[in-house]
Amino acid sequence: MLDSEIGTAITINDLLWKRAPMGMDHSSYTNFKIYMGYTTRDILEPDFDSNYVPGSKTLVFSRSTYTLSGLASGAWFTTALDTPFFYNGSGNLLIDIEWTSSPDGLSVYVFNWNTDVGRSMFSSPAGSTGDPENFVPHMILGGTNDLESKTFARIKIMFAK
Amino acid sequence: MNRFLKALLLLSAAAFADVEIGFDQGASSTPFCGG
Repeated sequence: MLDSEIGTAITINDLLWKRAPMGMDHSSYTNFKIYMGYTTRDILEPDFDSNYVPGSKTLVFSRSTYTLSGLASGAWFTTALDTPFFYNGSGNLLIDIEWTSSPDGLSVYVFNWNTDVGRSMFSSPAGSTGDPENFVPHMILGGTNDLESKTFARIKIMFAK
Repeated sequence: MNRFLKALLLLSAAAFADVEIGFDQGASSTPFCGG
């Protein structure tokens, strides 16, 4: 996600995906993990980890089995992160998803959009490199902004003047 | 009190920062990825 698209600092608590009207309303994934971090690139390189700003790769969600069920077509569904990720509003955001298998072989489809450039990478079986893709999920970063407790005092003072 | 309420209102409006990116164009089946 480009910083110009996000447009704000945000503590990301949830990732929301929009189920497309095809495939199944349920599935499960083994060793499912989501990492987040920063990248300086607008177009990703095939080596997955080379895209990260060094030291920024952070595990935010992990399940030995991640099960989805009862997903309504055309509706948003939520992955609530185990560890909220603070995005500071500067630099592009990387969202990195890995899983080892989908035991039941069922596919949940989500809506995506064409960015016209390689802004996502995919590899199956998982490797250190992937193939560039132009399609990125339509998604919502659910969270709160970066207000700190002292902000309230600042605003109050501003109004008092 | 007015000032206090205004400040509170600003804060409550700013506290939620959901960011929607993209739109419904195609569909993909890998876990929520492109491709």
